[in-house]
Amino acid sequence: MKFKVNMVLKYLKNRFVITFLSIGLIIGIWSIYVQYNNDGIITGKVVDETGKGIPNATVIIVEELSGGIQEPLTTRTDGKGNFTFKDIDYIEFIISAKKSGYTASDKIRYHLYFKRENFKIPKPLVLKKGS
Amino acid sequence: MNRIHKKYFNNSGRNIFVHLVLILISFVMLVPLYWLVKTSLTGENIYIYPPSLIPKNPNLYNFVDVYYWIPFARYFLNSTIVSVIVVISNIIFNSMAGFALCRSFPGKKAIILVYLGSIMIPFQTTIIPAFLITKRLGLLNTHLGMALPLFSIIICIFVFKNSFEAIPSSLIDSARIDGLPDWKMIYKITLPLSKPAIATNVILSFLYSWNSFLWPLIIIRDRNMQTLPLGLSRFFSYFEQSSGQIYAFSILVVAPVILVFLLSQKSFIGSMLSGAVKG
Repeated sequence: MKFKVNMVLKYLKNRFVITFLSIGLIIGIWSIYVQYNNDGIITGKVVDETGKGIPNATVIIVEELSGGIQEPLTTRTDGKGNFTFKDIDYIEFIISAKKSGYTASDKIRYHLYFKRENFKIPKPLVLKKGS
Repeated sequence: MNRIHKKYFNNSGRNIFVHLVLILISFVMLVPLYWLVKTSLTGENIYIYPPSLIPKNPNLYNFVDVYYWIPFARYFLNSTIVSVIVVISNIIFNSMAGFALCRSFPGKKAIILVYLGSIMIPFQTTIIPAFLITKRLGLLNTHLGMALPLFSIIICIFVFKNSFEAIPSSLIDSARIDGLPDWKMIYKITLPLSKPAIATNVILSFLYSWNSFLWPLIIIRDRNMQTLPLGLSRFFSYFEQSSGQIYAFSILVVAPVILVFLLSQKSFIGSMLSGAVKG
């Protein structure tokens, strides 16, 4: 038994084994992470200049490919200014928001690490008052 | 300070100078690699002036694009399968050829001359017969077909020959007296004693196979059978030459070769040096 443990330890110290085990481990952890975060849900918030959520604003998301702009998808914000897109399988997209009585927000580009990644827009989309 | 101390200090001063020069040269040699890594992480235009030495906002998005723009995993798998076939066949065939060339037999010198002569024939001139043979064997568009011309790399036969010659002939003779067949002698005696030669074979055959472009380009018709160098050339049509994605792809192509070399370099250098001190 002791002999077998020593043999295993000896193989585990081998640089080939260490390298390929490490690569396998990283790929394994990454695959598990992807499995648990691939619902394609993109969330965020639309706010005014004071930081207050704007209800019923239109949020537009469009996939960006180097071949050209694709068909946009839209959704509306809830009472607190939050929005959610579901089943989005983009890898790079542009998001913006608009509402009558406000000037449209900046168009912001985001890149994801894998398709259908659950992503929370880090900065809220800001609408300024005015036409 | 006596003479010995003086000499030591003079030498150590010279050593420091030599090392500083070597470090400087090493940095110069590493600059292209550094630029490759930096551009792949930032996507900065390589022609930007003044060039920034430190990467700004590094990320892995260019690598992600490589994965999604082309079937990278498929290409990687194809390259790996072909390389594994090439490495294994090189170890088997080259060790057998090297073992045979250590023995005395009629026409040995002529065979060695033919081997050495064939090194001088460029692959491009043998492409048509190689293609016809591969076609007749029904190996077009297959991994085996891609590996076929690299089944035995002649330079590696001589690496094995040199290594086997260093093994005492008494060991081989006693094995022969014990009734061991030749293939078992190679497998049980000479190969385990020639680890540096195996490492050299692994590195060289892997390198040749991994970077092989022309042969796969000729015999592969199906996109799913393409290897990484073919994928890289296809990738050039999607992105500008200066874009970060191209550099990310280049890193992904080069990384396995560097990894294999780093893992086997100790034995590889040992094998290279072993030939240098022979009389």
